[in-house]
Amino acid sequence: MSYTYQKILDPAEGERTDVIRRKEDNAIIPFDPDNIDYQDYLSWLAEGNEPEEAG
Amino acid sequence: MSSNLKVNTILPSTGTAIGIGTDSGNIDILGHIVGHNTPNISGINSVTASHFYGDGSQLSGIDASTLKFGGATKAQANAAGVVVTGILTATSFSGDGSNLTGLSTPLSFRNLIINGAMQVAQRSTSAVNVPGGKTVTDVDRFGQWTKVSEGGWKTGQQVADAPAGFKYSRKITSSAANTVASGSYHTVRYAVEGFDAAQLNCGNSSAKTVTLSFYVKSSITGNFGLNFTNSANNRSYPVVYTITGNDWEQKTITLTLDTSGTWLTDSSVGLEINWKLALGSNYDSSDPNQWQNNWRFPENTVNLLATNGATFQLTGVQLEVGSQATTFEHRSIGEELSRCQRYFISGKAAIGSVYNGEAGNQQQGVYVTYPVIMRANPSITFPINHDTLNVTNVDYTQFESTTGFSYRVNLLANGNYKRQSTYNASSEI
Repeated sequence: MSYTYQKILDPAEGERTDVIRRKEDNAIIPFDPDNIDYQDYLSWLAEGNEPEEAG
Repeated sequence: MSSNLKVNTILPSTGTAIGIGTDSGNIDILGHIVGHNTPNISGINSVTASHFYGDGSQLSGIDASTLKFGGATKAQANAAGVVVTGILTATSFSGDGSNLTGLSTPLSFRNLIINGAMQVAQRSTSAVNVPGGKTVTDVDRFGQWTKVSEGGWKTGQQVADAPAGFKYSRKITSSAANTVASGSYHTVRYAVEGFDAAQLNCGNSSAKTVTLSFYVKSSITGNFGLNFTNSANNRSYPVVYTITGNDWEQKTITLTLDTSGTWLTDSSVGLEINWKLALGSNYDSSDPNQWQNNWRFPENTVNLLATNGATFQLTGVQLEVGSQATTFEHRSIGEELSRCQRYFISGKAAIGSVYNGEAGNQQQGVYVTYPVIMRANPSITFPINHDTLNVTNVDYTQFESTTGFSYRVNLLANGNYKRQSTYNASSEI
């Protein structure tokens, strides 16, 4: 399954820089090197992709 | 009439022997028989005495094969060893205990596999269409590795069909008669975390011998394949096993782990086991039962997913140190669930109160604490909403960590508010 990603806007604190949202299942993915979803996100970025801005 | 004869020395008339007594009479000795130098007594059929003294090391012809107490045999020696009847008490035992059977208290913590009896299925107990990638979709810890473009070839499900002594198995069902291309790959995948695999000394000359045992059942018979591999999947050990009929069969595989390659011993994948469901020729190996480079499986083994409706079931999976497959180590459902929760938790997050402030975009939050510390900071989803009132910007989180997260909402208006959702936290490997 191919995923896409979107930045997260915290209503109180603005744009989050430590998590990303996976759009297909709304997973909140922390920027933890041991998290395999984050590893997939890094691979996705390495392919030249960019996440959507926070909506 | 009584009389005594006292002499200093009795000498034989001829030779060296002196005859005393008769054939039927006794010689009564009131004191001791005292020998001098090294006298021998011979030709006596039996000796009756209340005690014997002296060194018995030269005794021969004694049958020591039986030890009795009260007329009952307690220890009987035979060609195979010694059979003890009753309680054997010792201060210590040594030697290989791998053939011990009938132990009333099984040795614990020997199975490196979590949820090997397929008891825990937090994500779903009904059939799930398996997507591409390294995923876990139904039974905890037992996922799959599926080529991304070939998601949907199969379903996975916990089913109440198992061999005697088990309740559940994990069942894979092929969704179509799929065409297996050279680059296709579909496996049932189990990953042992590096911290748990560290004891195996993989990648070192002291790599241990392990035994994998499992129960398997398939609608297709023939030679099947599996492999053991490292986290980078650049070292592997392909193995063939045979399924002979559509009924439960136990398989046992013993191997010495890899003495080379890179094997992780941290919270990453330490050791991976993949049961082949369908694999293209790119992954074939003609040299099973040995460590080799790359991710390889035995050639000419069954591609289950090439047959529509074909099934593959697995349970009773045990990986243990040593060359013997011991009886499956059953664990309680509570302990098994707790172990699974290091990698995935499905729980409830709820917030609600009476809000008496000004109406508007006010933020409220509660901290949700995980029941166990997770392997890594998990990905969080909220798949089900159960209740909601006067809130917006729902189901978002802050302060995510391996121990929990802050569950937050923004309030819409003055008055009561509430929000309750199921959350899933995943830190699978």
